[in-house]
Amino acid sequence: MYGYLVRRLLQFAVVLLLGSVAVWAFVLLLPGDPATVLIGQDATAAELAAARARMGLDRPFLAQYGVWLGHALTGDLGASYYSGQPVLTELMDRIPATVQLAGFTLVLTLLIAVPVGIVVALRPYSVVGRVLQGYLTVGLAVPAFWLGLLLIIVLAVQLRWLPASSDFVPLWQDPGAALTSTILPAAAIAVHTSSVTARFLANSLGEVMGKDYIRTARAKGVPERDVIRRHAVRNAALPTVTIVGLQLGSFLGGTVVIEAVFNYPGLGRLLYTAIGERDYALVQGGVLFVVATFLLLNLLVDVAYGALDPRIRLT
Amino acid sequence: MSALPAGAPTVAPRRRRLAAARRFAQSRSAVVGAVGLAALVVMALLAPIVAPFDPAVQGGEPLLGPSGTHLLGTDQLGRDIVSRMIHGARGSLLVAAGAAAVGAGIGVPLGLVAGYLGRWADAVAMRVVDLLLAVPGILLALVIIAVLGPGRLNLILAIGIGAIPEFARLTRVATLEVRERDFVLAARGMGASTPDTMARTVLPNVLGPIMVQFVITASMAVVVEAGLSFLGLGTPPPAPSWGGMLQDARSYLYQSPTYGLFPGICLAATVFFLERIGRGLQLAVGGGGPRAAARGLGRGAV
Repeated sequence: MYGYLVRRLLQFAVVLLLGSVAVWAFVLLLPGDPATVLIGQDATAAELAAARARMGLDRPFLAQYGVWLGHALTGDLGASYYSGQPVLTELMDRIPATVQLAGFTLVLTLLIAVPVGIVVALRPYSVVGRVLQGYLTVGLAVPAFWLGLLLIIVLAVQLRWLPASSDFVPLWQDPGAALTSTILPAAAIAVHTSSVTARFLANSLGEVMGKDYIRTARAKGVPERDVIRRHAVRNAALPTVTIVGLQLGSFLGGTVVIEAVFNYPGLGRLLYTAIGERDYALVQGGVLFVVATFLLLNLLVDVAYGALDPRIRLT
Repeated sequence: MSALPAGAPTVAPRRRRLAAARRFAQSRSAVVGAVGLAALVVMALLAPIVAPFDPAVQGGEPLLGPSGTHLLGTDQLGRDIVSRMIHGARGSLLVAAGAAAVGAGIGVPLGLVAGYLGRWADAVAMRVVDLLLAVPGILLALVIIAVLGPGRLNLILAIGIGAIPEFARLTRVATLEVRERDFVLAARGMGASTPDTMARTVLPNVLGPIMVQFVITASMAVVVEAGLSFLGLGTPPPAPSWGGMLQDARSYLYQSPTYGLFPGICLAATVFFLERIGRGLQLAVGGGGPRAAARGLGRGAV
């Protein structure tokens, strides 16, 4: 177990380091000089040279990277070219909104996926089972951002029940307003992700139901309810944890389009705007943050796997 | 020399391929998907003939609802929505196929080398894959387009690079499974070089799951392309694209609420057909597995 943990942590560090190189090198690959972006097109050569020296751009690449990495490790990701604010502050401003949307989406995904997955696996040919299978097919095919647009058209434009754009209201300040402003984007994403998760759960549940220990449980007289709840679902849920972990990772940085549809001020919007404004310090810091979060989540899921299932020996 | 070791194992795959094709044709969902996709492709190819209007002509009245002349109405510049939808299929399908080809073209060799050579090659390739996997697809595409600039070819590259990890992982696992099988050992025993063994003996035997992944990737790419076009960074604006049309619909929500309906139906239909084909292939070749499918689909979510 400890050997595994150490090796995974090492792997995590290696990938993150690789990521920092890629994120840093990205600016070198860009057309144009970051200094020009900062001081404007019509600066004189002397001004440009001064700006380059101030930004450290005249030093060797390796030295530049070393300095940048050293700062990044202490939480200093530089300042936004555009607003002048520290990148970390800019990111921290958006993280609550992103975490809240991700949390809502995760809860909705699980609320839909678990019952749907169980019914589809156990009663595939019943009326309810068929209807739910239809839901899975549609949910997989419908792009989340289009569903978001449809939800806006119906619920906000036609019926005027909910706002068309979602300002961020923190849950701890006003739970009701937080719910109404976050529910639409969360639902738009959750229809898709719950379909993926439910189908996956149904598949692994179908496999588990054919196992000997299910027959044993039935043979020794365990009520069917308990067979499903305690023997089948628990075993089938484990591999599903991996999928949900991956999905949560993508909620934390990849909801760019949904955020644009709903005007939601999350991390994805921030990075999209930063790319448009050529605010490279912010893009670097933001992408590094998203990558680190995703890797950490993945690590946690893998370790949790071993803790949840005593049969799995992590070596 | 290489003809002999490569020739021996290809007899069985050929027969298996025939059997797989038969299983595919017998699966109803696969046939529905294949027919639907074929119809879309024909529509895209014949767009100038099928479309009732020129998609670029800004003649009519703007933001009309559905009517006899303009079946689905007109957009904010008075262009016919049906015609733009039909022409939009071209970009979507082209980018989807291109991105899947880029993903497979880089990911499959990467996975093959990692799985077959093992050791250092494996460790390095898999860490790169881990890193690519850690960046959400749409964010990666945004950053790559920032580097490369807009345009259809760059769009294909940007989405395709995001698809490398799934191909690489899948190919690696499949390669690990066949690496020590008798026919691979036989090929090497008869003197086939390592690249030769990989390309001619291992690759044909891991193609099944790769084909499944190709279709799943294409369906993911359709959604990502639409998302990028929605953000204004996909197919450049004068050319019609489903994502770009949805962006226009978002801007004119109140004036023309029906506009946003139809381009989205095209998107969903394309994804649906591809998903059906993917399923049919999966049943036919027994590859991929639900987890691989879920991964591919999960990444195209938003």
